[in-house]
Amino acid sequence: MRIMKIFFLSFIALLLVISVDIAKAADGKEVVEQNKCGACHNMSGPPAKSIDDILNKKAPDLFYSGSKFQEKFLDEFLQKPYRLRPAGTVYVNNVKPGKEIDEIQNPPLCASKLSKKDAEAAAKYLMTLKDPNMKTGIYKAKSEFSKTRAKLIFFKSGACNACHQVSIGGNAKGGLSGPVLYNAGARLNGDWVLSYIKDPHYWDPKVWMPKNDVPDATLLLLTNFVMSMEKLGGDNE
Amino acid sequence: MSKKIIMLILLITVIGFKGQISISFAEPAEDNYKLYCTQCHGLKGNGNGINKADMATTPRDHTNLEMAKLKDSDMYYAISQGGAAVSKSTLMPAWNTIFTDEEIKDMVKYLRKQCNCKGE
Repeated sequence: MRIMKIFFLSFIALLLVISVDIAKAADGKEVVEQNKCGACHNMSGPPAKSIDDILNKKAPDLFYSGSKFQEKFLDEFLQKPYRLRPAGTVYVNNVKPGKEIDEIQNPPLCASKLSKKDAEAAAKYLMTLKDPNMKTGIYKAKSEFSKTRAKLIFFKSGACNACHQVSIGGNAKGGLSGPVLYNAGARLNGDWVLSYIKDPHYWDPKVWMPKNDVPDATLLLLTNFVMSMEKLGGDNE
Repeated sequence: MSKKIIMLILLITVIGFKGQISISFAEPAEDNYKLYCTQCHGLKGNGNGINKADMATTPRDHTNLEMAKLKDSDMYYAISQGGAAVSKSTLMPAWNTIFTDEEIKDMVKYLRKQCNCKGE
């Protein structure tokens, strides 16, 4: 009888937690709409399918943000946005020819500066925007993997650092045309990282990241390595 | 008469469906170069792309007459299969998953315009 009572109370508590989450997500939709996030972000898909379309992109697509991000990151970022793409959303729109190297011209930064309450609600809502076709449960956080082999692929054969910055000797080093990766493990969903490395064009048909035709084990190794990067200041090399 | 109408409906349906599922089409070489190549090779094609600073190998200058030493087929292969396939840097990825065969051929022609040179 006592067990039944505990079970019943736990069930009620769970229902309450779920209802609070659903209510917050509903509030979050309102926050996202009131702050006109959709003016810059694509909130409903489909992704850009031509170069013209991609050049008109003002901010990253958010219609699969629940598959891509971690809620804690969204919550914090929406309160205090910072630059994740050194050359902006579409690098070529923010570059001018330079003498030794092309120059990046102050790309616009996300305008969101939400209150703690609104950010929490908006993050809850954004986490509901998921791609139903993405395979989940492949990436297991904190799995053992060969860092030596992963680095060989990341820095040599895959040359991922040609376009993405990682943390080397405590500093951001690497290419500027893609988003930074030095905090990927605190920002992204591992299953999404794996899916994106496997086929970036599934998510963004015209994106300038090439598709990597590599075995599944290599994809998982790369994902583990990318997800092991949690902040700028460490050494990923 | 009814057969004609059925045929017309079928034709419209097929065209409509094809239009809906068509997700990619050939882009002009200049546009492809701008979006995919300038990140390393630079807006002017001179190897000064924004990713150059931390690269172990400097991106090729497409305006240099050294380009004349390359055959069109070498260029095609390098773009399609990547640098490693032609014993060059792995920093140059294979673009055959983005560009169609025709787009790569157009890109070779575009590169010839950039260097204002012919291949050997």
